[in-house]
Amino acid sequence: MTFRGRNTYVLALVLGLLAVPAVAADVQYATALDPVAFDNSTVKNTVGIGMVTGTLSGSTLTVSGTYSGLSSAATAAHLLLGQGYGISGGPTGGLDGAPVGDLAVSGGTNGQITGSLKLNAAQVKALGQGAVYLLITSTNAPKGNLWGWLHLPDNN
Amino acid sequence: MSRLATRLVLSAAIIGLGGAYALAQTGTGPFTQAQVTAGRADFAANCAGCHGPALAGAGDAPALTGATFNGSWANGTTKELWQFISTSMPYGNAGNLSADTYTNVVAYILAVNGAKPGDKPFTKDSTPVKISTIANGQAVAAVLTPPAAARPAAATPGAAPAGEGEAQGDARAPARGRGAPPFPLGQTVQGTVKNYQDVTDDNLVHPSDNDWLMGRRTYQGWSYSPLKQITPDNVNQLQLQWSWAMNPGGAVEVTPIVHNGIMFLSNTSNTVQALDAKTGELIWENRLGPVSTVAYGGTRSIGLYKDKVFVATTDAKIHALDARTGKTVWTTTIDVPPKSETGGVTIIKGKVLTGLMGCDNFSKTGCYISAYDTETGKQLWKFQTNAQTGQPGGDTWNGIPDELRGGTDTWIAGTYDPELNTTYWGVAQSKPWMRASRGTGGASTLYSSSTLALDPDSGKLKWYFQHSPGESLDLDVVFERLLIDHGDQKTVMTIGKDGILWKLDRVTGKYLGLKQTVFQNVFSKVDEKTGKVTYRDDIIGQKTNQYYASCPGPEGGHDWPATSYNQPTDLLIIPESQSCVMMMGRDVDKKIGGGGTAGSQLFYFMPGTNQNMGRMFAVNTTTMQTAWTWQQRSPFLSAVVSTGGGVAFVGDFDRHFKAMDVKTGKILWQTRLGQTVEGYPVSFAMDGKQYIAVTTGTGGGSPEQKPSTLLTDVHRPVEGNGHQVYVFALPG
Repeated sequence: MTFRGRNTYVLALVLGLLAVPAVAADVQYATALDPVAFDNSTVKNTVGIGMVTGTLSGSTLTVSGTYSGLSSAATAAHLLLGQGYGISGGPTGGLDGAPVGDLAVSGGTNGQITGSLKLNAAQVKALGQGAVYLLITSTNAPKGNLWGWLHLPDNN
Repeated sequence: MSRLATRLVLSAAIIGLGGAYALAQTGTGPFTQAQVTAGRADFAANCAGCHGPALAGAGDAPALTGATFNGSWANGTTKELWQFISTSMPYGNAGNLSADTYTNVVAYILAVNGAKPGDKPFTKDSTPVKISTIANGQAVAAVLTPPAAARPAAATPGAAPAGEGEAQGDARAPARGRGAPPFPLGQTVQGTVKNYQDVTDDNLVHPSDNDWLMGRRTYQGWSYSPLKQITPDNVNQLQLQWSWAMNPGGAVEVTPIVHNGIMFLSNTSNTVQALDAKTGELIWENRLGPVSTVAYGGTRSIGLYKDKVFVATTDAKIHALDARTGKTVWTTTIDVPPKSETGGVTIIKGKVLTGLMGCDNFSKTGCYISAYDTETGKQLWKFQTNAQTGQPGGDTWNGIPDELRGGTDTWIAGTYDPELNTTYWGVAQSKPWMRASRGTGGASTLYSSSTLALDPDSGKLKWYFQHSPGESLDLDVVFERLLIDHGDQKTVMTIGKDGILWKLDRVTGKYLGLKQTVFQNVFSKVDEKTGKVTYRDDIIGQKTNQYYASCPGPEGGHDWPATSYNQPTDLLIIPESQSCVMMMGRDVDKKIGGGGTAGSQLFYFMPGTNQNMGRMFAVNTTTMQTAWTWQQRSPFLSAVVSTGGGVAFVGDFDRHFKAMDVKTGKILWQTRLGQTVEGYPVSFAMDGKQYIAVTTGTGGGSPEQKPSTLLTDVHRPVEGNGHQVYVFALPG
């Protein structure tokens, strides 16, 4: 997490405490989607960009966003648990992590991601810690093409 | 136990010790002897500069033999190896060699690792063969070393050049491949600097404002010139005064040294030139050799003292040249290749101090800082940076043998406080990069990633401070040590690849404070009260052959492009990078010559940066508060130099050379040069006119390699290196 992001979390917490809503307010998240980790031999298959927003309402996370510039059609979008901000969650350090749930992806090299998932308490906590990330796979990059860790928008 | 049983147990033990691969069968590969022969030359011309002529690996380039090769490729196929190499190599020019070159190189690598040539040539369409069925990773000397009759004559000073890209005494092969023009060594241009003035001890302590006498200009390492002619108001009028094409090959990370109107310029192939700094006219040239390789070996600075120029070279020698004529006065061997020294020299009271690089691979002599008599070249002392058994700190290596204590290179020349008579050096990480590869567990491995305070007269350690004990992700804290006073408090400040800016008391080594300047996720805790850092649990418990995420990655944070301390504003202006890696440590051969960096890396953009890899960060050194910061897509490949006129200069990967307002960071002027702006810019003056000199080039190590992969939209010249020095000034 960046320091700016950490401050934003603290500010959000303070504001949340000051406000006295009967129901917890929705929390907005966002992330840019960047190519997953690659080297010179895989760079051509892991191109593309994207932007995703998420709204946590209670324990329900609703996600929507777009992606573009893939070298092959998107095949799936997964929400995963990482070990921290910028850290994937695979047990062997791979691109994948424990699944939170799948999102709908429109397919093609440009498209949309949408979905709504019910999170458990641990997943909500991980989301607040910047440890939940979205992974898009594609035909040419079946293990992962784009990824991004959800965070409060000012974290960018 | 019966003899038979004993023999069976011994046999089992031998098999176990040998490992699965050591006893694996070698077999006939899908390639020919002709391809191996051609591949040897192709490898020397295109690959050995990074991977080494013996394929032992160096720096970011992994070993291509032994356990590291087996760990990466034993379960892969010949086609996958070809595919990887042909799409990713050479670095910065991936995929641009001929199809034959790629197949030849694959054939050569397989043959070095034990595969035998067959009668069918290897092509991209050859039937894939599992590599462990034909190669066992045991380097075959007869393949590495060609028959004597097939070797070209070695290039020595004044001798005819090699024509086939073979190694010439340098442990790393030259970049000048087949068909390259002649490159004779020795004193190739005769001339005399007529107005040379000897450099005194007092000159080094109190240099003329007009001069730039050492790496970061002064003993304090500020990368700051007090010259004031160029200001925020007029910097946009800067004009090119002259430029000079520098040697190809190797790496350009050089500091032009300027004294009394003469520029002493270190080129690749350990070539030193004296140029008229006003006109760019060459006065003398001495090509010390050996001929440089494709990617590494950029000498960062040379030194002047009395009537001599001192240069430490890529073959781990130190030379003294006559400053007036360029003639060699003495040459002393520091160590033998693959050791090298490119970090430059620090000259203190008649001694020339230098560090040592290329300590990646295990060796008997290890790594050290050493001092030499400036008149004779005699070694006066050395300080071992990989603490040995029985020495202070020698018990911090988890009990591994002394010869397996790799790394602890010193690749940036130290700074010096004349009043305290103390010299300050940064030490790199221990190697291999990852503790799982090293076998050092949670041991701190002194004096890796430390600041050393040494007595320059004796080499005796006064104190040390280890910034990241047991560093494990190629995030060393080895760079410039800036000596800055805050009232009566004398501090030494430094920043490493992890992006943590440190402030220490330079009298005692006491920790005073830190500031995190870029996002990091490798430490689960950074205690600002004590200065203690704690790695993530998975990094502490790491295993080989598994990936671990690291933000920042080995590009830094901060890397060799140096910080400037602008004294009038009390600001440190720090060039930084933002990228991450997934790092995998490999198993290594635990023997002399084994080791290496042994890390495989996958790269990704740092989250939250919008793919901006460059970040400029200014911090007040007294309060440690951020003054200003900005980011851009391309990272910076030059040091920052700031001036008394309130302007700071920096160059980037995408060929821009920029001037900033020191107080705000606002870009005031920029121009675009022929290649990545790379090296250490300087400012000097002659006849009342202020100049700014900067170099362009390639071979900048991690800070250049990472954006070469990540920034596919940034296009740089691939033909020729674009090694050049440019000199700017105001009109008139």
